[in-house]
Amino acid sequence: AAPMVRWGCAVRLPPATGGRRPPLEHIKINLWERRNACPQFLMRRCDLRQSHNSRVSGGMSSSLPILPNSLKETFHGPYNPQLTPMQRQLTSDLVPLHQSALPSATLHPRAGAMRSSYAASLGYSPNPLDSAPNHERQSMVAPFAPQPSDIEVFQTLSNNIPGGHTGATWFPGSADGLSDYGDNIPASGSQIQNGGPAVTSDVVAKQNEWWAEIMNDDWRDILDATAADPQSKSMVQPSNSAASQPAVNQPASSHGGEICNVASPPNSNSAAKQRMRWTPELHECFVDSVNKLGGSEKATPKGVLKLMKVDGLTIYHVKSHLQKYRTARYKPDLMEGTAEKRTTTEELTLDLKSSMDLTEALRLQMEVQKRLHEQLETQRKLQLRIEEQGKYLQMMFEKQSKSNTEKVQDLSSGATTTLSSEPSHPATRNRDNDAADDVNRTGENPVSAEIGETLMHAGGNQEMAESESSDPLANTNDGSKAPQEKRRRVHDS
Amino acid sequence: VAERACIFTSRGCEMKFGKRLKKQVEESLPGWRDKFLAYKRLKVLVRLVSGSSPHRAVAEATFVRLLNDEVDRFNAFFLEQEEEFIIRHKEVRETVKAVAGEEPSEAERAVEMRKVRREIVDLHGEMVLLLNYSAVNYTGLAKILKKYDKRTGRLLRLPFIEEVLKQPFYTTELMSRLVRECEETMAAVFASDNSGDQWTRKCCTDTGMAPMAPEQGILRNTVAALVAMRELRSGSSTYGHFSLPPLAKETEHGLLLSIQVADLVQSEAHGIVRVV
Repeated sequence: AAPMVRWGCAVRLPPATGGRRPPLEHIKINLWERRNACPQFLMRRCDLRQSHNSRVSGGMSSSLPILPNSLKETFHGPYNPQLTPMQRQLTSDLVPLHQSALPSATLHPRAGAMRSSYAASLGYSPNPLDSAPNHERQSMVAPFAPQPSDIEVFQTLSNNIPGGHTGATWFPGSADGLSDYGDNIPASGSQIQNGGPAVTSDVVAKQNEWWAEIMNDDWRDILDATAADPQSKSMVQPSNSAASQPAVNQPASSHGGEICNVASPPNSNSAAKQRMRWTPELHECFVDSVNKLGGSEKATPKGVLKLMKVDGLTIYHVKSHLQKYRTARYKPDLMEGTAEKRTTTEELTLDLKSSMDLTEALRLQMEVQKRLHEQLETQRKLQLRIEEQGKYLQMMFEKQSKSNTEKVQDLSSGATTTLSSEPSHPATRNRDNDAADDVNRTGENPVSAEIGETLMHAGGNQEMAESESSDPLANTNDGSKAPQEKRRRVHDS
Repeated sequence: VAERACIFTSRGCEMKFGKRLKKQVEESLPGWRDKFLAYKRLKVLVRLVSGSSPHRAVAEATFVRLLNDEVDRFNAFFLEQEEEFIIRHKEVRETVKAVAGEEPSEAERAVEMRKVRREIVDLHGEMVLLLNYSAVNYTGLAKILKKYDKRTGRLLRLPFIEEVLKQPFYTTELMSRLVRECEETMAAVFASDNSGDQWTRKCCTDTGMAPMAPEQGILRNTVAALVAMRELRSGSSTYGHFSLPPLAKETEHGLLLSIQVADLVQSEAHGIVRVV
């Protein structure tokens, strides 16, 4: 029976040296680098020491201070209405950027769903129509935003908790993720920090410099944006109440955002910055209201808005939609008029073939379009599955490495726990998918056991066989049996 | 020198995507050309972050910021288009109903029928192109993130893509539904073909030819998209865990066929066909 992917295969740990601590840190670092590596690496053998050590010392330390920013960018970006004008300012300083056609930013209700879904993590399937709870988001995002008015604090943050940010950069939305990485990394982070102080502090200093520069511009921009934007596009989903909006925007309201709510009154901002998503049903409602008011020419936005009685819908939404509606109806009429004229006056002698070709041309065009649609659908399904798979693998790998490091700690502290009887750590189950649950429970132990053995026998006697599990999802069914067998094998050898 | 050599090896495919994207953008509908991913710019940033240059930190931050900006842009454009398509879709359906119910002369009905057919085919085409827009930008993001991860050793791709998957511009279920409904309506409209044929022939070509221009844009873009997709899926040197498999053989054959046909139609449509 093919065993599950053995994460341990990639972990060639350096032989234990003097004190236990440093190697442990190394282990943590190496494992972290594994995760940092392109997901493809998970499936390939690679000598950690060889390929990653240089990265570990160089890459980690010099890049750590950056992470808080990256983190913010990653997670404030798409959801950050006020960040957008500022972002543009910044990017235009560094790289010429063409202006977006639409000035207002695009915090979308789904963004809200996204962040909380991130928090609820992997098992969550976002429902676009839900108005997701905002409090969690706010609390989760807040810790990572440095105080712009306090550069020293920022420096402290980046100096002291680079590792924490490292972890958090990639999974900040998940509180679980935070605790996981926070636990694992800080020590290693500081260790690296100590190891290369010159490099690190240099970069940090530079970072802070740049940060300080930026911040002044930012605040000006934010204030300008807030003041200047008269158009209130408020959040949509008719089911959402306006009350939820402020909360959504608060964490994202500015770079160091949480601090400056004064400058950016939440209510008006959220109203100003969020984008509406229309649905056919909503449009039906709109059309009905328009018709009741006498048609697209007669109906006024105010009247339509009143008649529709949809929560969260603003007059601005209605106005712009009405405009689009009128345009859509007007053009065909125009064509109709000219066409009719032509039919009556035009001579009816016509190339038979060309008119037939016309219909045929349309048919062919239709066919080509349908084909493209088909291909796009297929491609999309594939992409979703691939990403899901990647996510799953990632999760698995993290669980492995987590339980590994924990086991290693146990060993180093001299605990005489038999590996076989080591239970799964409840901590690792926090973010389990239901589907993955069984797999994880059974899959962890044998692999951890193998890693444990490797540690104990300095040479690493057991070659972790490469099991390229191309479809781990398919293994869930066999999962329970195979690891059991594997475990037996481990202890037999 | 080393960099140049890379063009032929690992960078071979990168160039291809950038070029392919550029080509698709060129072939796309006029209003859409500046709405696609700023892939080149992102690539420049990735190059900056990989070295040990002093600008690395700033480049990284800029990179991430630009990514987010792009996503915002996609969302804005996508939502705008989606809204318009919702409106137009309903309108065209109303028109179809109206034409079906019309009692005037056969000639007029035929004219209306042709107009509505043109309208619905074009609408369908544009909607599919919006789906393509979404796919192309997603692919671009995924690719550039892959490069970023590779160059920096970070793990930005996975979480970022996870978020992208939930963005409006990528949650295209509604658009897919509209496209399918449109296809149903089209089937009905083109099925009732024979009745109008005689009169269709008698009608002037001008009516049909005038709106040909936008239609050609649509058709050209559609073909370009299909070609690009085929190239993308033909297997790359950097094939990995996250790459899409090549298109299935039958699909490809059918694809080639439709592309050839489409080319033919296009070239015919360019000039007025004179029959002996």
